[in-house]
Amino acid sequence: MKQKNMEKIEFIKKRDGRIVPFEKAKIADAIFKAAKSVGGQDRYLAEDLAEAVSVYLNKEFKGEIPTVEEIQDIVEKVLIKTGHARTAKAYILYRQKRARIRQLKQGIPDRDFIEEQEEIKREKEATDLSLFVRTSGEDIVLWDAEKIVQSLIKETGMNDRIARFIAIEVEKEIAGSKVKNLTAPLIRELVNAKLVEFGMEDARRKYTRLGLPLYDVKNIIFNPNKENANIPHNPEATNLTLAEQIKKEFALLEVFSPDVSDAHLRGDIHLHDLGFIDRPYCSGQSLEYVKKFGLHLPNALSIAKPAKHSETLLAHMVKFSAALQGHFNGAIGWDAVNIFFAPFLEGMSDSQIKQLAQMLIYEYSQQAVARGGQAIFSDINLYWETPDHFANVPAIGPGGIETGKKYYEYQALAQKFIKALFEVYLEGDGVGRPFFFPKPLLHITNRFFETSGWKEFLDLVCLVATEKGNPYFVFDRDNTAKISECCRLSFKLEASDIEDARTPWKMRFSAIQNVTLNLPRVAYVSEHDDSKVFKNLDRLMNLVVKAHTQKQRFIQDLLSAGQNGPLALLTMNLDGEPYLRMHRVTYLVGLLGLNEMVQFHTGKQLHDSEDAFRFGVKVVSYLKILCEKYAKETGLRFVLEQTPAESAAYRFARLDYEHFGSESSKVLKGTPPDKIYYTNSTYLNISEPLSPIERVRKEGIFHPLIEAGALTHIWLGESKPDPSALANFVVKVFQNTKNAQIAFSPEFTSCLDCGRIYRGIYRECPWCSAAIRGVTQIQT
Amino acid sequence: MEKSRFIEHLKNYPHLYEFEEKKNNGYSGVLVRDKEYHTLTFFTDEAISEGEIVDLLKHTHHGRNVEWISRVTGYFSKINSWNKGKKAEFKDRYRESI
Repeated sequence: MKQKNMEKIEFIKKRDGRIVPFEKAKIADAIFKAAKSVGGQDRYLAEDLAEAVSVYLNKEFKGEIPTVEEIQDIVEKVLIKTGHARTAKAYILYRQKRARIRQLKQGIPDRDFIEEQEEIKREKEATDLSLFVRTSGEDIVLWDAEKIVQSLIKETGMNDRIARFIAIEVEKEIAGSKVKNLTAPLIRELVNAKLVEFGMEDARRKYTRLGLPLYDVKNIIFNPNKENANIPHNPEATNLTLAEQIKKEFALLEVFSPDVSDAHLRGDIHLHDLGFIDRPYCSGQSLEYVKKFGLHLPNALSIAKPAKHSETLLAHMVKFSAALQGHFNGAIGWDAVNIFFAPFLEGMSDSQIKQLAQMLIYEYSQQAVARGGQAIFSDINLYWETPDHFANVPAIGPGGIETGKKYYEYQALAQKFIKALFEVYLEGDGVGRPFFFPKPLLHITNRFFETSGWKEFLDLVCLVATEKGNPYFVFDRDNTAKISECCRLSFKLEASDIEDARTPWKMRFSAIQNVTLNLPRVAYVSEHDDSKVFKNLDRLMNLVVKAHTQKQRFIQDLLSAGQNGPLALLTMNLDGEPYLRMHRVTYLVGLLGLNEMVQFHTGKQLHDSEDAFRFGVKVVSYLKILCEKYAKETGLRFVLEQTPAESAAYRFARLDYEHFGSESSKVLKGTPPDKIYYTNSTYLNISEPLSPIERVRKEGIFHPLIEAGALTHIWLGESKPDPSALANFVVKVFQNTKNAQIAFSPEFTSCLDCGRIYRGIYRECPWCSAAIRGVTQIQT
Repeated sequence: MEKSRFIEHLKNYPHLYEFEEKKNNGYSGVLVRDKEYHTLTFFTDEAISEGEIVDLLKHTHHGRNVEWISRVTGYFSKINSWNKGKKAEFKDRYRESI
């Protein structure tokens, strides 16, 4: 066969007979690789030599198609002729090794191989290779190359001959070294080095050992975890950190495809909670499940029938929360807690109800039993009114039996309980600090304002907000119904869910995974060109969808092991459906740094110009449309979320400062090089002195687009606004804005010496820094 | 407590304290440098004789043994456990009363 162009080689013939385009770069790569193995560093020289090879080829073959072997012969010739003898030798050796691997793969008897085995045997007898190996199974055994052979076959699926060849190569390496203490991890690394040497990349990947360097483990045991503010520093917590490290590596290697993993590692996207790869993201449910079925958990040591007393119900709720926390990486949220508790409160005095409220809050806030000795990430959704979707639902009472009444008939008791809960929040813990958990979410529907006593009640909640900051105000305008949890996540109930409300134990909502987009980086690579921005968003969303599909498949695999699998709890089936209802789960698409994206792209921040703001809205609307499009295509429910991004806002900022230094420096917030961050999700610049109502209104424009939850923060700092002013503000927000949720956040200084708590941030405790007689604090 | 016991205690924790017996404003006593909190505190002999070791040494903190609490993203938590980015954000937050 003749080449089209008589002058130049355009095609080559591979070993399997395929004709492929000739690539000079590949020759340069091979030469450079050989050169490097003998200390060469000049990539340009390798390219020059490759050029020489192609000139030679053109001359030799005059338009004929050369085979790979023929090309390699010419490379050898060129290397020798141009005086690169050492590189030539390395190249020849490499060719020989590859040839042997090919032979082994085809099962052709290899004379060298047999000879080599004989030689090894002789060497062994001569040197008596009596090395001991410390295995991972806490055992010390005699060196045995056969173990490598067997593990290679089992783990990588390679054939016996190749495995044996690799094992012998490793044995030679060890025999030739002076190593005295062999460990299983070291041997594995030596095997991996050989697999790399022979270009067996796929086998090396499969043979990977996951784990941590000694130095890191020591660090983890001695120093607190800074990635998540909720993780204490104790042995349980370090267990979690260690396990997380390994599961994270596992996720990136095994669950996600290389393109998705690389996008995460580069910081184009953030795959949240990789250390919890084998759990769904979070879970929201109602107490009705526990009331109806008791505690009947798979593999439990004992089974409890439905509770008959309020304290027992509380105990079931807390224990079930702890069990769920072991199976989800985010929050455990409970719907309409005061309403569903109400049938159990009949006949209780006010002080008994208060006592129960106190128990509930302390049980959640003091448990340090969940993952890594953390408290349970817990949320309780609360209602003053009885929302329409629960009003006419038959109430479940003690013993899991219907009481014959509807929930609207329990409103007075539900109101007593919700008041008691907020009174406890107002008092704070034993020294007056705010409770960290469970977070109370007060829902406000239109009916709230028609329910008598709402004014006094709202004043009470606002007093808690101004004093302690706990409540979230969740606005369910018109006919929306939500269950909220986590930092801002909420599940909007759809028609079929409202249908479920008649059987509220079925109301179980979960998100499987959260993947967040690095929006500022999209702007950096789009070079101020609108069409490029949207094209890059398309590209990223494609990856996000891929990531979600891969995690979904993985979780589905774990679930399909059923009662014998690791997620047995989520497959328990007490009401005709598994606990985790995969048909109703969502897949979260998180947003991060919209403000910086818009700032880079338009030159102005969101609060700074109407055009900039409009562009921000356009971006979020576009992403919403993409979510809907992909949902239709894949059947997976993709929804936008304001990512809490406790670590992602910092991680993206650091990665962009590293890789897009000149671009990111223009928009990053904080102080480089390391005290930097991006503005969370779709927030306006956090430091901008906007009036609270303006911030709530403007940020609220994004909220209807962000179905899985959005929130506006109002940072109170040390100020303590009048509760009635806060109440007015809340009402105004409900009536005049589209904002979905707001929270007021005060700050506190807690002194560990005297136990006092002060509003505001103080470097020194005002009490303890005061002088006493005979002790003088000298300024330093 | 006796001054000698006070001094012995300081000697037992050289990585935490440095001290010097001296006079300050005409009173004799002990000047203590707290290495953890980077402070200097002068205790008169009288204060030492009247106080107990734990109560006395608390004063070398100069009230700096405090924890700050605020909302990180959703939940309240202790600020000293936040990452550097979140701490920078905390500094920048615009605080406003209503």
